[in-house]
Amino acid sequence: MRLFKIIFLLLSSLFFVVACSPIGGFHRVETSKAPKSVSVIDTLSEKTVFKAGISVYDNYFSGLFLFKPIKADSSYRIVFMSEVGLNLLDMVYKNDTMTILSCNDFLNKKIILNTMKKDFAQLFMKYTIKKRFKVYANENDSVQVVKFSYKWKKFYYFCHNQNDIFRIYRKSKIFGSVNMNVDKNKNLGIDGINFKHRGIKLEINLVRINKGE
Amino acid sequence: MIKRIITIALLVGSSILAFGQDKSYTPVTDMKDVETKLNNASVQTSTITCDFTQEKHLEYLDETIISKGKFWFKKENRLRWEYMTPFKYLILLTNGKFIIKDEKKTSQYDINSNKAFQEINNLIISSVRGTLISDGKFDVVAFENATTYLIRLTPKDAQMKKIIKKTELTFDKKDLSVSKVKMIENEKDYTIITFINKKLNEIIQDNIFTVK
Repeated sequence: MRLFKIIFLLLSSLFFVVACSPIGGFHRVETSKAPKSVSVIDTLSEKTVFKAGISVYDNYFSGLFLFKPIKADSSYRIVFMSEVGLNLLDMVYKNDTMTILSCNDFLNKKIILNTMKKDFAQLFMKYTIKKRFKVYANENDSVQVVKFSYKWKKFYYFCHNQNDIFRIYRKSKIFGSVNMNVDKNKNLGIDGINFKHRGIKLEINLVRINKGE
Repeated sequence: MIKRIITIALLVGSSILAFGQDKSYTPVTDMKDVETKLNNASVQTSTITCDFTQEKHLEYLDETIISKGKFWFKKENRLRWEYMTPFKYLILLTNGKFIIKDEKKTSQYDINSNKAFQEINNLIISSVRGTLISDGKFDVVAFENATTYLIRLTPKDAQMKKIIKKTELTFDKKDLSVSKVKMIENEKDYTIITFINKKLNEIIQDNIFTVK
């Protein structure tokens, strides 16, 4: 009886894994058909300001995110500040690494900072950070997905037109996942970015506010 | 004694450095007189309506982020602080409540339920009324030129100092109302809020202090 229970549980979890696969309905294609390796943020060549809304469990806080490319050392600076102008978090992305430069006390919780670091690093990371990856496409080949593993996580980059990332799904091999959707305008500029976590109740929503610049 | 002389020398030195670019400012000699004037003006001011421009300066990034909005204050402690561009954001202090509306999300807090909110409430209301300099929580240094007083406040509380290193309030001499607030976080980051189109003691309807 116990053996049946175990088999049933294993089969159920296997079904669950298949059902939850982010590339259900996609088929494997040759790696030569991989989209161009770009990052989400590649289209931001100048400073960009987003209005941010962050929901963590039952708390909600908001502010502004400034993204600024620093051409001198090919880095990116990300500053999170309150609407009234106080700095809350200052990060730099350089050489595939996100580093926190300063952080306000109320945000200074390990789980929040680590999550922010990982989420925002994802905006800059190209799939070619790993040499081994698999490529999938949907039925009419209009959407390509690059799947790879990096630092104990599985990544799925969803692209349109071979170079336009509109979604990244990140799954921890142990626990939790993050679905990041990018809202693009007709010129492929970023209008908004949404991170929705499973495993922890966290959602980050960014809406670009300097569209005219 | 030597320590005191060094401290005074450092204070004078930093004042000269701070105001080196604007030579028109000189230290106020009679601080008590300024305090009395500001307190009297506060007593006579029952409402304030104005527009504001906020400039967030990130000097190391060579960036300034500008936002604009409207401001209403009604004695004793009702306030509407509304950002209108480039984003919508509302802070309301009314009937013992601290309300924040961010786009469509509204959060409401009881001011008396939380010491932090009491502090924020007192800080905002005292800044607006110009009574911050006499509440004992700051080291106060004052300067003046022909048209304005500039009051520099350094928090005594270490926690507060971690957030804002210094605040500078500029008062118009003609009506002794606050025309500019500069919040200095560190050597390279500061925010300047400039109040324009000020109207003092005009009637403000109570429904201004509701979420809408």
